Amino acid sequence: MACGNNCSCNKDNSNSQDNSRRDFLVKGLMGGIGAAFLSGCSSNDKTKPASGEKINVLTHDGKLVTVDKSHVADFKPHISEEDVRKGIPGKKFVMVIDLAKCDGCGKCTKACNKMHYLPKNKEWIEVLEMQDSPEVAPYYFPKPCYHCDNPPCTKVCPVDATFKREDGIVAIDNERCIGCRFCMAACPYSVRLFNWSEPVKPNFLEETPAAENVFQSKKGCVEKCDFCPHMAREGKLPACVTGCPMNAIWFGDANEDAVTRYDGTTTKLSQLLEDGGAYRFMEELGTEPRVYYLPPTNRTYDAKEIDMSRVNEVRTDSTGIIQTDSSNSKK
Amino acid sequence: MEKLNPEIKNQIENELLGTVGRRYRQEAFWVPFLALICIGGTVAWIIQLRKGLGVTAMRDYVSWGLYISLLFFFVGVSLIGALVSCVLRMSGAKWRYPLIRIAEAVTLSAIFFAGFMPVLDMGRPERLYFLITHGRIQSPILWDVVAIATYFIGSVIYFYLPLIPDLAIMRDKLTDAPKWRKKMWRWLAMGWEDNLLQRRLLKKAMLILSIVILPVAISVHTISAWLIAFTLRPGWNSTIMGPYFVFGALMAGTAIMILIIAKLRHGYRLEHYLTPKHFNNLAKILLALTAFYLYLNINKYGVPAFKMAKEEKGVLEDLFYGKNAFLFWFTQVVGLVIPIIILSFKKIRQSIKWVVAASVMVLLGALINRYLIVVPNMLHPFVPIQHAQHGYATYNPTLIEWTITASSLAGFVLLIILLFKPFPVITMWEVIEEVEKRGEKEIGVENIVNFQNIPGHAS
Amino acid sequence: MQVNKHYILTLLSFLLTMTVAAQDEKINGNIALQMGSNDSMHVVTATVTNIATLQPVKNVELTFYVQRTFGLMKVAEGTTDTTGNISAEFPLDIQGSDSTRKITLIAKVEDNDVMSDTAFQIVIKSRLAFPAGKPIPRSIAGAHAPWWLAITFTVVVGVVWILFVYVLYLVYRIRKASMIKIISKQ
Repeated sequence: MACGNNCSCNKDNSNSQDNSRRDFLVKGLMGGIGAAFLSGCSSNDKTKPASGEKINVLTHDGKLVTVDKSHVADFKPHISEEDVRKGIPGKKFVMVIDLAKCDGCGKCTKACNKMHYLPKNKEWIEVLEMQDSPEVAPYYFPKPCYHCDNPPCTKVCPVDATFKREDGIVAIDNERCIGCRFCMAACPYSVRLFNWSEPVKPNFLEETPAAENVFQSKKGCVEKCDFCPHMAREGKLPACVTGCPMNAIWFGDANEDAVTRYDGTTTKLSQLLEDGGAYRFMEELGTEPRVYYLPPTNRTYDAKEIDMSRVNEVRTDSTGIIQTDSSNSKK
Repeated sequence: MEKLNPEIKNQIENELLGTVGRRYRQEAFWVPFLALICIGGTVAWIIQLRKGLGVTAMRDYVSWGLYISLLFFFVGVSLIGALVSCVLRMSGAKWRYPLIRIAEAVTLSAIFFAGFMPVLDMGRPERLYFLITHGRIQSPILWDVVAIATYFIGSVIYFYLPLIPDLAIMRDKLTDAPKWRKKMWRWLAMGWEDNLLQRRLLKKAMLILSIVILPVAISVHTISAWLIAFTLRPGWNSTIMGPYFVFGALMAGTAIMILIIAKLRHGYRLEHYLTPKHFNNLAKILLALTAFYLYLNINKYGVPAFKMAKEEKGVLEDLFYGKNAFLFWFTQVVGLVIPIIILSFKKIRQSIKWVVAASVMVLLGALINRYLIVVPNMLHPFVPIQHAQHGYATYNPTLIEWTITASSLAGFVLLIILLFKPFPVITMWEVIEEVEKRGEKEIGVENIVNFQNIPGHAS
Repeated sequence: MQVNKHYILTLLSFLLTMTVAAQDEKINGNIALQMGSNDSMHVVTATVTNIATLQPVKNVELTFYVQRTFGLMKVAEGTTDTTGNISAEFPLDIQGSDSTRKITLIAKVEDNDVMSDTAFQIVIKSRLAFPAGKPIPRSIAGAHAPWWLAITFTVVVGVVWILFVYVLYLVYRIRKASMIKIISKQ
C-alpha cells in the first residue's frame, strides 16, 4: 500500500455510504487496544466539524468503513526533512535475532523485499549459513543492517547522505547520495547495496522525505536495511519481524526496554539479553551494533540440514534487473 | 666558473627552443592515436552515464574496481613533481635542473586525471557540487578532493614559476611566432627582464612553493591511502597504508620519469641535457625506492601471513596461491626483485637501456599492485560471500571499464605531450645559470658549452 | 502495603467495552484499577464488578500488560477472589513510554467463561529516569565535525592556500618590478 498504513485512503470515493462516526469507532476498536489507529482517529473528535467529504478507511481487522475525512485528517502527520534526519523522538530502536529459532526459511527477506519493492536479487536482510569452525554445528544467520552506534559508514560519507539519527537508525537520503560507494567499502558487514542500474519503480508517489521512503532504490545511489521507520512511526513492526513465522526476530525500543516479535509477544529487552546470553556480531570492531544475537543453543531445527558445501555456489534464481557480465561485455 | 659566452648562451637557448611548436614524426602518429583512445573512452563514459555503473563489472562486493585503482596510480605518479622539485632541492642535487619541468608536467597531468577518476567512479556525477554545498569535513573523500585540488593548483603554480624567465626568452627570441602566441607569452612572462629584484622575488616564490608542495603532495597520497585504510576491512585495516602508498608512488613516479626522459632524449634530441648521469642518478633513486618498497611489502604481507588471522587468511591465500597469485608474484618478482637485481650492478645501471627496462618492469608492477590492493581485498570481506549472484563474487572488468581505463592512461600521456609542446622541455634560464655557477658536470649536462660539439641540431 | 502518594490514584473510567453479540449469557464486567507500590514492586489492585448488577465477580483471570510501542508486555496475572478483588505485583524497573515517564498499565480479561473480553487501563509514572534523547553530537560519525577537526582542517588548508596566494603576490611584484611597460607596449 502506498502510504504503508492500515488505512487505505481513497479520497475520490464518491458513492458515500452514510455510516455514522460512532458506528465506525465501535467497529474500528473491536478487539483491541493499543493500535495507533485509535489515538489517531479519536484525537479531535469534538473540535473538528465534519467536512462532508467521505473517505474509506481500512480498520486493522480488515473491515472497510467510510468515515468523514475530518476524522482521520490528523492520522498521518506531515514529516519534514528535519524530522527524518532527527529520527522519531524518544525512541532508540533495537533488534534481537534469536539464532536458535531461525530455520533459514528466508521469509524475512521476502517480506522485506515486498515491503520495499526490491527485486529478488537485492537482499536488505540476508540469511547466511554460518559455521564458526569445522567441528561446530552450522546455524542460520540473518544479517540486516546493524544500525551501529559508532557507524563506520556515516563517518566516511562526504555529503551527509547517510547519517545517524537520534532514534538509532542509520538512514540514507538518496536525494543526497553521490554514489561514491565509500560507505560500502567502509561497512565491515557488507550490508550496503548499490543501484548499478535503473531500478524498477513501483507505481505510486512517496510523500515522506527520501530517507524514510518505502522505496529507496535510485540509480547510482546506495541502499540498505532501514529498520522500516515508516512503520515504526505508526507503532508497527518492520517487515522482517512480521514476516518471521519462527518468531526469531524481536524489534523494539531500547528506551522502553521492550522488544516485540511476530506473534505480538512483548518482553523486557534487558531480561531477554541477559537470559539469552546475547552478543553482538563482531563486537571487537567497536561499531556497537544495535542488533543483538541470541546464540543458537537448543535450536529448533536440525543443524545437519545446513549444507555448508553449497554456500559458494552461484545463485541461479536471481532474476533481477541487473545485467549479467556476459551481456555487459557484448557492448 | 665565469659567465658563459653570450654566443653559447644564445646557442643553448636556440637549441632548447627548437622543440617548441615543432612537429615530430612520431608525435604525428601518437597524438592522434592517443586522442582516438580518449574519444573512445569518452564514448564509453557516456554509455556508462546513461546506463549506470551496471555496465562495469563492479558489483556490491567489489564496489571499487579499476577506476579507484587508477586513482591510486595517478595520485601516486603525481608525487614525482614533489620528489624532484622539493626532495632533490633539499638534498642539494644540482642535476635536477634539467628535469624540473618534465617532472612538473608529469605531475600536472597525473593529478588532473587523479581528480578525474573519482568522478568516473561516481554513481551520480551530476551531484558533484554537493561536496561543496553539503560537504562533511570528517570524510576522507572530502580531504582527498581538497588535497587533490590544492596539489593541482600548487603544481600549476610550480609549473609556471620557472617558466616566467623562459617565457621572457621566448617573447624576446621567437619573434616570428603567430601574434596570439607572442601576446600570450608577453602576458605570461610578467614583464620579466631578469633584473635583480625580479630574480630575488622569483627565487623566493620558488623556495616557498617547493617547501609547501611537499606536505601537500604527501598528504594527497596519504589521504588516498586512508580511503582504504580507514575502513575496517581485512587487508585494508592497516597502519602501513600511508607510507606504503607514498613510497610505492615515489617509485612509480621515478620509473615514469626515467621512461619519459628516455623518450625525450632521443625524440627531442636532448642528448646533451638528459645524459647518462641523469639516468644513473634516477636509477640509484629507483633502486633505493624499490628496495624500500620490497621491505614495505614484506611487512605488509609477511607480518599478517605469519599470523594467518582468520580475517586476513582469505585475501592472503588468494594472493599467495589463489586466483591472483600470478599477478601478485609478478608484482613482487618482476616488479621489484628483478629490477633491484638489475639496478644493483653499477655497470648495468649506467646503461640507459637496462635502466629503462627496469623502469618498465617497476611501472608495470606498480600499476598491477594498485589493482591488487583494491580488488582482492573487496572479494574477501568479514562476512562470507554466500550464494552470490552471477558476476557478484568475481571481478572481470568489462570492455567499458577497460576502454575508460585505457583512455585515462592515454589521456595522461597525451596531456604530458601537449604540455611539452608550447614550452621548452628544459628550464633554459636555470640550466644556464647553474652551468655558469657550477659547471656542466654537476648539472649533468654534456658538451653544451663547447658548441662546436653540437652537430646537426635545429636552431 | 504502603500506598505511594506519587502515584495517580485515580481510577480511570473505563475506556472501552467489547461486546460479543453471540455470547449474551456472559457478564459484562467493569474493572476498577488502583496502583500502589512497596519497596521493590509495583502493586496493582483490581476489582472486577458486573456492570449491570454492580456485584463483584469472582474467579476471573486477569492479565496485566504494559503498553509498549509495538505491543503489550505482560507483567502479571491472577484470578479474582470472592470479593472480586485481585492484587498483583510487578517489578519497579519498568521504563516509561516517553519522557513523561508514563506507563500505561492495561488489565485484560481474555477468553473467560463467565465474563466477556474486556480491558481497562491506568496510567502510572515510572520510577526510572527516561533515557534523555541526546542530539547526535559533533563527532566524526555525526553530521557536524568536531571542533578540533574543523579548526585543524581549516587552519591547515588555509595556511597552504594563503601561501599560494602569497606566491602569486610575489609574481605580481615581479611584474611590478619590471621596467618594461608591458601593457602599453602593445
